[in-house]
Amino acid sequence: MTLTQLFNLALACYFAALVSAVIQLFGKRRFFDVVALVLLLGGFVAQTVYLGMRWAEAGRAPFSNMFESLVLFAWTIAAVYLVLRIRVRVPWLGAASAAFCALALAHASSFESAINPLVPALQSNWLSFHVMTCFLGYGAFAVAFLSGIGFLVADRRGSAAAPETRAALEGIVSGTISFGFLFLTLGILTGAVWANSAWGTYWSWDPKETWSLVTWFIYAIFLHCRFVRGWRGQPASWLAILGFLSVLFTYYGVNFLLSGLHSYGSK
Amino acid sequence: MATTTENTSQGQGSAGGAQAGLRDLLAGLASFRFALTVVLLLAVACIVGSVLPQGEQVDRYLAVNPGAQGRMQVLAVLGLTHVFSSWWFVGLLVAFAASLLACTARRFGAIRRATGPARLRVLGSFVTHVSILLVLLGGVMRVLWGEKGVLGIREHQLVSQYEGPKGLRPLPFSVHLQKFEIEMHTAPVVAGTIGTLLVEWPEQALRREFPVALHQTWEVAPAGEVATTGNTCRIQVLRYLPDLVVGGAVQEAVSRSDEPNNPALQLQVVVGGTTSTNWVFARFPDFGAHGAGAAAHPLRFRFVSAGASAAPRSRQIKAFTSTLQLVEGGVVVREAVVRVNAPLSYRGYTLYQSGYNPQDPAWTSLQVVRDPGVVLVLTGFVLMLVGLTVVFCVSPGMASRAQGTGLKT
Ligand code: HEM
Repeated sequence: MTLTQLFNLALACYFAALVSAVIQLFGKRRFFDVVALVLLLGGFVAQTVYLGMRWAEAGRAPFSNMFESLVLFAWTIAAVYLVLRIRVRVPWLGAASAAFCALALAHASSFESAINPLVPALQSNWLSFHVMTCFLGYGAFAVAFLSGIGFLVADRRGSAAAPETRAALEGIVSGTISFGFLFLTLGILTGAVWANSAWGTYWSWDPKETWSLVTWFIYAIFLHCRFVRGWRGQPASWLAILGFLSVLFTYYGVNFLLSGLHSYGSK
Repeated sequence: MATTTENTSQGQGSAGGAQAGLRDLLAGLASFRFALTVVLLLAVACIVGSVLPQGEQVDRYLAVNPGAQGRMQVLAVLGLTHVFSSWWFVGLLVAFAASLLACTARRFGAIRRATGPARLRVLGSFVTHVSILLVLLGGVMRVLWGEKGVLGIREHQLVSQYEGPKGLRPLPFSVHLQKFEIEMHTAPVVAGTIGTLLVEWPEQALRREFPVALHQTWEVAPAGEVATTGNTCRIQVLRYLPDLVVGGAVQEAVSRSDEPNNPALQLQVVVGGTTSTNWVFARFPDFGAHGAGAAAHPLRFRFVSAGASAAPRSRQIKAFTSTLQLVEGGVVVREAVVRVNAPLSYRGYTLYQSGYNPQDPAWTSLQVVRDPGVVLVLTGFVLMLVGLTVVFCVSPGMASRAQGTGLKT
């Protein structure tokens, strides 16, 4: 299979997973739930092979521009969801995650996908490690965001939603944020170490760095409110949503809105 | 963010009163509300500092928006054009450190009191908080005692000083550049043009369009006049960068990739004996059209990039390498190859491969950094990861194992 075919296969799997998960949501047929899971897993495997092949072809980790990072984003969301799915089953979350994966891949296809050589500063193993850890964090925060929304919707419907569903969503929010925080921290720190080895400065208040710090603060506040102050439910969900908006701005907004001359580009 | 209040004993007498006051202050510093306020304010300050133009960005911003002069002056007075070095931001960082220090100190006893997985969790968050303090301390040391500058050197030269922010600074050793090499990517040359450059001379109602070619010189003179040095403008394209970013600590313009994300031309314009260099951006046509830099010549430029297919890939640099010898008292004490991402450290100084000169391939610039705090910062990084791993992985893992075996914790 060629790279393009694998890419399209992954996109098709995620889209089909979304459709079956939605059918399951309304039709309540267990069969479609299994189909959705298998499709999501298929998309994930296709994407994994895709990333591996692209890595081999480029001779470096395929994480260096907008296209490549969006592909990675979809992959980490799928990974986090699939790992969670081993423990808990929230049908709504499967549909939402599949939708996010499909959206990220579809959006990626609007960017130039050619494999380009890297400028000297980007030729570093720290780059792969830095991007990989940041995106694992982002993937977890994306799932936390979806679960936060899910919680708020379930909560609004009041007693109609099963209490177990709400408790499960609450648990997913704090679990994925804890995991994401660990990886976001790892991502920020590897970025700092890399900058230090490339330029002799571990921190320079570049907009991208600054926004990653804002994101880090927001999730630190979440962790303290959750684990020190015992916040749950609605306030915790709103913080999870706010945190992810900050992630999106760090990843996306900084490139396109604050770019100007200092566009860090699409890391 | 301590949830328990541990100071119940009241001081007596005036010394006791001072002690009680101190204790109240510490309790206030260690409170959840104070920490939350400080972290929120820091986040807001970061947002402000990333959204408003900072430092040298202000001039570039004014070049594009000349009407914003007054607004920028107000922002400057308020300290909002240099947020991250302003006294109030430093104050917020001090408050942050004080809050962390106070609550970390107060939680120290809790490590002993807790048991089982909970103890690990408390220990992990203790280590995390201490690590943040270490990073902050390392940053303070860099600001107070660090040095930074650029050392320009040609092949076979021996240099023992560098250009710091306040002039030339001596190094405790000499640097000898044996060899400097620039390696190019060998990707195939993509045929096609870079784009077109539209040159306008509004006062002379002159308008010409050229296909962009590197290092070619064009002349424009007002129609119907005899071309003289006084009325002729000479334009040469010095550089083409498909994806210009101002990168690195030395703020050099470099191309981040071959994709035409921010195509830019560097032009040299000679008119009436004055030479000026300026950048023209395909995506920001108004940039540099006004303001101080534009006064040197009467021309207006517009650059239309041909797009992705046109990027002359063969010109992209793959690597820079400098073969260096460090000399002390006439003896070579160190020999190493320095590349981007592979610096050389010696006696507290670190040399980084930094710039090059397309006109002089035997010359390179090295960045010189002395950072006495970096050890603390890196130690802080390691401790932070250890602390967080204990909090989020080790302690919960232990707790679930304890539950699984029916142990009560
Ligand atoms: C933004 C920087 C900060 C980070 C990254 C951070 C990180 C953490 C982490 C990971 C935990 C463990 C949470 C858990 O138990 O699940 C924690 C707990 C805690 N933090 Fe922070 N913290 C920060 C700032 C602060 C500040 C400024 C205070 C001071 C008021 C503070 C006070 C506490 C307290 C009291 C706990 C509970 C600790 C315990 O159980 O002993 N933190 N922090």
